[in-house]
Order: sequence, then C-alpha cells, then structure tokens
Amino acid sequence: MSEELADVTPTAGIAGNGDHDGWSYDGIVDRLPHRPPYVLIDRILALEEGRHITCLKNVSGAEPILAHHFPGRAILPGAVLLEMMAQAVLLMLNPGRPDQRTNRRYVPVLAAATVRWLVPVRPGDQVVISADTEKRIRGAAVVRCKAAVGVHTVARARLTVGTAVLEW
Amino acid sequence: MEFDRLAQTVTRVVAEVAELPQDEMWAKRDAHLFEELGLDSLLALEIVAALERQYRIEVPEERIVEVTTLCEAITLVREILGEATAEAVL
Repeated sequence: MSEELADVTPTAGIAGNGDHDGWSYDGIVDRLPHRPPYVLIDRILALEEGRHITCLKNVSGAEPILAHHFPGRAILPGAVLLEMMAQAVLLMLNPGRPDQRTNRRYVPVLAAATVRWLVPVRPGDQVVISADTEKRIRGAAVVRCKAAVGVHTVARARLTVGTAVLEW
Repeated sequence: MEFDRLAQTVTRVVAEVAELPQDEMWAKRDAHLFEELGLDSLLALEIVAALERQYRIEVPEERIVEVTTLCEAITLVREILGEATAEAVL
C-alpha cells in the first residue's frame, strides 16, 4: 500500500479530475448518509469500486471536536480517525446514491474493528486514508485500512462491515 | 481429530477471532460456533479471512457456510491445502 500512497499527492484531485463523478466533497456528502460536521472525507483520490479507495481529509483547527480534545493541545481523537476509515470503506463498497423511488439504500456498517493508532494527528495535517478489501461476500466484507500523514502511517485497522438498510 | 500442527494453528486463529483461550477453543472443537459459542456470521467471515491470510489460500464464498465448528474449519483448510498441493504436483 505504501507504494500506492507514494503516487498520490493531496493536490492531485484538486488540480486534476477530482471534481467529476462525485469524487469531490459535495459528491461525497451526496453519497454518505452522514451530514456535516460528521462527514469526515474531503475528497476521493482513487476508487476501484469494491476493492480499493484512497481518500483525503484535511484536519482543520476549526473541527468542533478539537476545541475539547484537548484545550490548548489539539489532537484528533482516535475514534474520529477510525470513523474516517469506516466512511472511506462505505464509499468504496457502496458508492451509489439512494434509490430515488424507495429512498432506501443498503449501506455497509462497521461491525468490528482491530485498530492501532501510531502517531497523533493534529490541525494542519492532511490525512490520506486508503482501504483494500481482503475478503468480500454478499452483504459483508473484511477490509484493511491505513491512514497516513505524509510518509508516516498514523493508524492501521482491519474492519469488518455488515449491511444495514437505511431510509432517509 | 488429531491435534497436529495444522489443527493447532487453525485453533489459534479461530480462538483469536472468537476471543477464547486456545485450550478452551480446542475443547469445544465440535461446538457450533454460532448456536453454542455465540458468534455471528460476520465473525465467520473474519475467521475465513484470517485463515486465508495465515495459509495464503482462497476460500470460495459458497464454502464459508461449512465453517460452523472448529473441526469443520480445520477440515476445510486441510482440503483446500490438499487441493493446492495436488494442483502443484500436476
């Protein structure tokens, strides 16, 4: 995975074709059931549906959670980093929009996670999240994830996702 | 079932996912993973994924349903490894 990440620069999507086909922030908001400020992916940099995704999240000092975690020494909570990975997996496994007639969508939901947080993430960091499917069957998958800031891996995780039906 | 090296390794892998001590897992090798040990189908997928990583094998989706006990998991791995070896010889 490090080789793949080495080819991805955070500006690639901005200068290139990142605004097409829902890879921009607006497209991501359209695809995720979450709503700001809980949309934790800013841009999709690479997507191979069901198999691989690379995403970008710019961590701003204005993130509401950072005012409290911790006052005077902002560190992104590990749980938020884990949620970033889960949202990346959701985009990878279910990049389509809801059914317009039923307003119903089958979405992956996090069922289990084995995670290691390696380096604190702070305001100003650009987090590149990548996910690769290890095993997928109908309705469930095991996915290997990695979050990196620059050349440093800040978290690794293996997520097991199931499926839930959401209507909204 | 003999507790040979393969059985020991599969027991360790399954026990880690099931969060049970290895000796307890082996003692319950014929217990139904879902009905008796309280695991769910997603954990079965985790077990299969872990076995695939351990042995660098691929378990076909239709065979995942065979993994309902530790003994069946061991048998499945043994069969797939045996098939792979047979193919390599051919």
